[in-house]
Amino acid sequence: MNLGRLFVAATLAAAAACLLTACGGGSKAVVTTPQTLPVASATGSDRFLLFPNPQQESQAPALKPIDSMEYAKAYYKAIDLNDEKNTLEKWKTANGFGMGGNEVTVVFGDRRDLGYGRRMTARRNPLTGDIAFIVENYQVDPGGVYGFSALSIEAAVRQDTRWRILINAIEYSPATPGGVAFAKFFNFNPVTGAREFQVDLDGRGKKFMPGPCLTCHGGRGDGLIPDGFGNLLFPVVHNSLSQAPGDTQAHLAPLEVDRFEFSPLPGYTRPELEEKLKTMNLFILCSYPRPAGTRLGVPAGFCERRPDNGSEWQGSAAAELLIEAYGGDAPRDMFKDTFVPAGWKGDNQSLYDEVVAPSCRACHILRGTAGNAQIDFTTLDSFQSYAIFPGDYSPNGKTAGFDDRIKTHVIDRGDMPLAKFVFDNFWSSGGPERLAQFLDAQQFTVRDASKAVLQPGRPVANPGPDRLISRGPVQLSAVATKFEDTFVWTLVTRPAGPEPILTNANSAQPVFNASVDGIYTLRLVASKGSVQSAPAILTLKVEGAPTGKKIAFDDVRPILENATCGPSCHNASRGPPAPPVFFVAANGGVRGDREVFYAEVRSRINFTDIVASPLLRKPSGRHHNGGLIANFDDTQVPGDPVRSSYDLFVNWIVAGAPLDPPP
Amino acid sequence: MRATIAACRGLASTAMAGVLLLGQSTVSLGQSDVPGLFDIPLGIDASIGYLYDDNVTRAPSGPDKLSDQFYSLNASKTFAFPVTDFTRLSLEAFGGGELAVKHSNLGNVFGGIQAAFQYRGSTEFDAPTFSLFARGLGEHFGSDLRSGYRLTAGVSARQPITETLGVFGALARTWRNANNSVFDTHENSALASVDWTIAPYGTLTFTGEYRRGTLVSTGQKTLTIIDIAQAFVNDDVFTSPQMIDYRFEAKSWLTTLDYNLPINATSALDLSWRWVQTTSTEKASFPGGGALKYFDNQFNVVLLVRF
Repeated sequence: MNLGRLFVAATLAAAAACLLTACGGGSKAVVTTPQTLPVASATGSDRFLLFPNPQQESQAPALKPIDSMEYAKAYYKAIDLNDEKNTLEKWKTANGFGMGGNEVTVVFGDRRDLGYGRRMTARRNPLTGDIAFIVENYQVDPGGVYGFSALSIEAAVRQDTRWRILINAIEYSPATPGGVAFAKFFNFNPVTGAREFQVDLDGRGKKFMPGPCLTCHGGRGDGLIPDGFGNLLFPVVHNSLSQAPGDTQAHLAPLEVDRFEFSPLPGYTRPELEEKLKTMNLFILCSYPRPAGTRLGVPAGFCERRPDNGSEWQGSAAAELLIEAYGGDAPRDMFKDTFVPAGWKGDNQSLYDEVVAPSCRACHILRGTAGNAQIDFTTLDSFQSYAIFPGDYSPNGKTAGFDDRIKTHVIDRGDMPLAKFVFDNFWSSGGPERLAQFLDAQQFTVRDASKAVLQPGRPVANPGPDRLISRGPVQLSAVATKFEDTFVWTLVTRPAGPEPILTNANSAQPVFNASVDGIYTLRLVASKGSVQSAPAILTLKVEGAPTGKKIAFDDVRPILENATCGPSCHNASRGPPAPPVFFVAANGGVRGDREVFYAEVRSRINFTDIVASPLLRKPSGRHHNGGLIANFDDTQVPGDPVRSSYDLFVNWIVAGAPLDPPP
Repeated sequence: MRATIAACRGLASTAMAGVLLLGQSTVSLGQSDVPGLFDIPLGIDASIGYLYDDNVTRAPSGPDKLSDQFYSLNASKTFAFPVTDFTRLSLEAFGGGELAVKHSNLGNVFGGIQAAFQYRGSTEFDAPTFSLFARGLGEHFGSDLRSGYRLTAGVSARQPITETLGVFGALARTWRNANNSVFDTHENSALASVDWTIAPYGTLTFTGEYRRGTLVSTGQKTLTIIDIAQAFVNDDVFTSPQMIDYRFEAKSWLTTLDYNLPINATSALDLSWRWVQTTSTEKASFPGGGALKYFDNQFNVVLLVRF
């Protein structure tokens, strides 16, 4: 009995202790409700699915950036003039869904690009050859980290509309019956079916159409053009075959089946869907232009790929990917992604396998033109052409054709990889190390003191392009600096004579005032908290007294219209390979549409990173079918006669690239 | 003496437990004229028990449905205070604990107090006993999420039918306030039981209960679970694979078959089987999506001793 009493006493004591400890003060475990959105803000500022050149708004004429309502409206106006497809039902009816023909549906998990469960239905009109894809996108991971979840596939299989976050559609059809088909992008409200001007593809907030689609479908991000009546129109890409506004030269993307995830549910496993996926990929291949001498890639009688026009995107890399995945001209039913382009086989194949294929290929494979295809990264040489170390000006100038775009986009600015999900996967993979090895070999500095690969998010100083300026006060600009809180400008070298005055040296836009001609160098260090950027050097050539003249479009226009740029190349009557923009009329004469011309030229300026502007990169020989144009040699110090046009263009851009001289 | 305390298992909702305790108390009242029953020096009921639960996660059939075994120690003491000739106030202090064999953090200690105001209109054999009761319970689990308090309040009635047959009924509401809000639940319950005493072989009791309210299950995320869940949290017991605890609205049917075998004047052996069927009131939101349903069986052996 004593033992029993001891037991009872112990039990009651434990119970009493329980009463005192039960109120633990609340668990720290995170409670989630199904309404809690996935977390998608883990990697800082939103720089995903945006064109590196966002197009800057202007007042005279009034132009708008890509991520704007005006741009979205102009786009839908261009591809659906009479609003005949402004709802999902209308769009489906217009594209013949449910009316027979070759229509297939698949469900898969997009575990590489956007992380959705996707229910995709494709239809090819047997009479016209028009193709339409509609994609219901499902995202089920309340409270989780934005990205792939097997639940999203299940939701797509079961069509659990509670989790259907987007309905996207792509239509490959002509602007007018009988015309040349091109890809058009639509976004519909997942509940009402109304066509939407904005889309949030990655949980980072809404962006205006069609930018988030075009960025990874090979589309161009050209600026709008004024119509002279206060309206903004979508531009025509002048080397397109369709010549239709709204034909952004975007394309249907291959379905890289090996990179999808599938449901285990009956009817939705990969083996059960392979045939349908193959049908879709053949549809896609049918939409690609076919350069002479290349493989058709589809079974006889399936479709005819139209011949390319000799100027446009050739489709070769994407077509080869699909053709090889199905064993050549489609004799294999299973997609097998072992494709390595011939130009990547060899010592650097691992760079392709670990970096290019998982993180770059999906978007880059849809880019490029006949005259400038390097951007499709289908060879090591083309990839390497974006990673040529500049060196410095002395003694014989910088490296010819220097190009730091890969380092700039991936290591510094962090706007590549383009999609957040791909970006996150890249930085959690071995890709950065492999890329760093490549960039190391190219002499770029991409590691910190501990040899770790530098990551975007640290401050990166950018003092703007080297310039030719006159004596007197000149405003400098570090607005292209990234991830910074503070700036420190210091003078490094100067010619003999009075020291120049640097006003507001701790700001983004100090004023430099020199009274003596010569070459000056300044150093910019940006900081974020206690983290300092690597110093960046700005070289200024001071030459002559200020003229008081305010630079405007008409100062640079003659260079665009001169014999080298205009009549011989950027000519509206130019044969293939023609560039996407022309500077003179078909007869070689002056364009009569001055404001449109201006808008098209301005569209090729990247105000967020001036040296990245095509208006500077192309004539200075970067990925330009015309090579280096006279007086655009930016390997030389500002003020050198061989870069006089480059200096002029830079100064026009720095001044805001005005159409007319400011009052 | 009846098996009661084992019903306090933390994973089981305490609505039934409270009511059963009350039922026990009421039954004891009905039998309080048994000579010597309250003459034992301490008047403390204690028990040691073993329980097998085939679904501690409260999961539908499949990989998430996990079983466990529990060893329990419990004790209670009841104080009765006559108020009038026909009423009395009963206070019971109780406490105990459980050890889980497989999932140790399901183990817990608990303690609490129950108060009941009881009315019996006469001393006639067939006079019913009515009761208003309230019960507070604190519980501390190895799982931080689950620890907290429970409160139950309700009414009950007991009606002897014959010398050997009695019926009991109760309506109750239970609130749970846990460290983690996913485990903050509430439910209403209606209970009825029949007990049949076959002297000297013991008492057989059959109990049926209906509950409606919120409860918590544990499992890996599925579309159905996410669809019906009000809230969920990563569990701190079932972590490999990581499961979630999810609260949802449900209705449950519970039946308990209990056999109480007296050993001597101060001890008894109690054997029971509880069967539970729970169905969510919400359905998954996809076409053809159904409700979530699970079954649970608990087999319990308890040695009860009165000191």
